Amino acid sequence: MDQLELIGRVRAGDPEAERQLYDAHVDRVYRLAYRMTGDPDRSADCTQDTFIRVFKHLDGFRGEAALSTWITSIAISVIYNGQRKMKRLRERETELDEAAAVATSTRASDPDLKDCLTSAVDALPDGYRTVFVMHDVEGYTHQEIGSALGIQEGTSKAQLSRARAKLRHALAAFAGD
Amino acid sequence: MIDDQHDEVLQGLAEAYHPPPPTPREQIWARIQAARAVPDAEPQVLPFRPGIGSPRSAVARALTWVTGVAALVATGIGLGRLIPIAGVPSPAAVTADAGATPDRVANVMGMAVRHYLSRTETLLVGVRSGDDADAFAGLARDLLGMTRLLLDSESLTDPATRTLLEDLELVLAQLVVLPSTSNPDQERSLITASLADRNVMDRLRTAIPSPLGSAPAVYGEL
Repeated sequence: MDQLELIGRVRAGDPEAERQLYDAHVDRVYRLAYRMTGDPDRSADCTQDTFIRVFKHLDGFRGEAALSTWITSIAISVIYNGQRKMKRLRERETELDEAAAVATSTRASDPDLKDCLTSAVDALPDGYRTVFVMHDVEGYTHQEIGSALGIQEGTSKAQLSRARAKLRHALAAFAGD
Repeated sequence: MIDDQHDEVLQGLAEAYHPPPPTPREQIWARIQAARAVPDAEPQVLPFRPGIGSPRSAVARALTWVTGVAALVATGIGLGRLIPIAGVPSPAAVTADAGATPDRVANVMGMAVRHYLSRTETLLVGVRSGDDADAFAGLARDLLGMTRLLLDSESLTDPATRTLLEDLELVLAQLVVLPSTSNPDQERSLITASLADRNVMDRLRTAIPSPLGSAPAVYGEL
């Protein structure tokens, strides 16, 4: 069954087609949610909300982008909304542009390089972190990222470059360069 | 060279960033099915459009049109100021134009935020002065939609503005449902008290810069 036929059947209310669509895309959504949140419960919540919205709004899918890209864009929106709520709950005023400083301070308490990188990535501004996770971690292309986030490919490349620069700085500080 | 080495290290470490476990497919699917089986099961997403049919909804729709047109005009004015009108731009203008896209985005974003904040301030003043709840529910709904669009924008990078918008999002959500609550007067008192507690009006006015000033750079980086 090709994608158009599958979408048509889902729109017609075929539960088997809904499950097929879900199976085809759920891993990608869950992986991205987990990479972005680092939390199994929040990742499951995001995945659930994403597919509820997908099924509800599939009639509005025009086919300008690939279905996977459209689903990813919904997932990103859901993830961002979840992160905003978490930030509000924690009342955490994180300075968005202090990746290096956070990474450096982490070094003193935890000398593990992977933990250093995790802290540095966590401290990246949301846009940089999203592009870094999607491209360098999950293997999305800049074209896919641009479509999913509603930005130009060049912007995606620029944000990745800046994210890497910040992470390099953090790693250099950790390594004592 | 050192950067290249660091990039290689980064590539190697990237996979270790929040490594996901296997997807709990069946568990999530069951939750989706359960949620969809219940009417209005979608997470509390407030409708952005006013209801159709009531006399007041026509007022709300008119407000929507007026404010939409105003936003369009504001955007047009902003772009008009940023783009040279003359047929042949000066070399300096060409140079500036070629490298000014982020600034242009920042300026348009700045105008959108200012416009949004001004409308929200007007609404909240009406709320505090006791205007009819039904009269502003439609406008609150539209502003709530705008709030979410702005918060979803990566161009809005100023943490203080984001925090303010998140507070306004909650207030606007309360105003949208105010007419349907069992005791609107009491709810309105709570909203007004909440505005005072969080110093929302003062923060709102502080965040609205002079119309003669340029857009703050904090809205900028893409």
